[in-house]
Amino acid sequence: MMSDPLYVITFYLVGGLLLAAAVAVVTVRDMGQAALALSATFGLSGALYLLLNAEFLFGLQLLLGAGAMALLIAFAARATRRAHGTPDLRRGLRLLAGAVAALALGALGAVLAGARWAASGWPGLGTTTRELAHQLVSRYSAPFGTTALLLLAALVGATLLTREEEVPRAAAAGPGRARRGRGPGARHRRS
Amino acid sequence: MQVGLAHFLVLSAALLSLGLYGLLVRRHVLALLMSAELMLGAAALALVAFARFAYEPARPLAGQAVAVFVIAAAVAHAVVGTAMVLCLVHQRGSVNWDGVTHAPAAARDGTG
Repeated sequence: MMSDPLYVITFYLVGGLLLAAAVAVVTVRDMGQAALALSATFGLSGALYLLLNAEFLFGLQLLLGAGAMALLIAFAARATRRAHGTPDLRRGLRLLAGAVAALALGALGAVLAGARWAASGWPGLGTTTRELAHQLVSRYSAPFGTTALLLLAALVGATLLTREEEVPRAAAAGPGRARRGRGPGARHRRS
Repeated sequence: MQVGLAHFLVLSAALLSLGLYGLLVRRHVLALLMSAELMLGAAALALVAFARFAYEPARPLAGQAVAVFVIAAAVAHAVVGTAMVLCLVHQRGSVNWDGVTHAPAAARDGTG
């Protein structure tokens, strides 16, 4: 199956598109477009998960990565689009950063491509979802619960961060200004 | 021609390097957040590739299980990161990462 021409062509096509989208994420000036490229990156890596027999992770990546996460970042990009900002590093430093990244890629690639892994046979599971679910609630039940706790903490933390200063200001300014000041976008436009 | 574990791992390393480049080059806080997400995605891809090609009957699908946690951590990172970006922009009126060392102090002396 790995030597199936269709599989090989799909891998190179999806991998090339994935790299192109990732390059767009780190180079595009407009943050809204970068968020769109990030969404494409997650969608394409979801397609690679399908090639790797990980159907549940494909769905997870499509819903959370390409959907929710990119939407959240696109929203933040829209809310902050009028804020002051300067462009990326100047050309010389960009080249230096590129050299560092290329060095990292070379070292990692040389190690990973040359390593000999203890390869073992794929048992030929039809879909892996059933086995993964079984593993998540038996062997990995403690990390699973901790992840739920982490997500809850992130939810509460994000809520606290975004409404921290609004309460005293709204109380001081009266109901008219409080209505205008609601929402992060409205807040920074006023300052 | 055959696609094996090394192909997926090299692709994952390329994604990781692109994320590193973005972290070094970008100044916009949202761009930094997205570069970090890219690196987490690269890690998840490597884990899923290991689950497929280095299947171990004693610990079946360990890579996929850990990849689930990595994706959840990435989502938590995006949620909290976005909230922090909005908070930072509200306080400083700037989306740049440069010089953000005492953001709470900037809020205290009323620049927000």
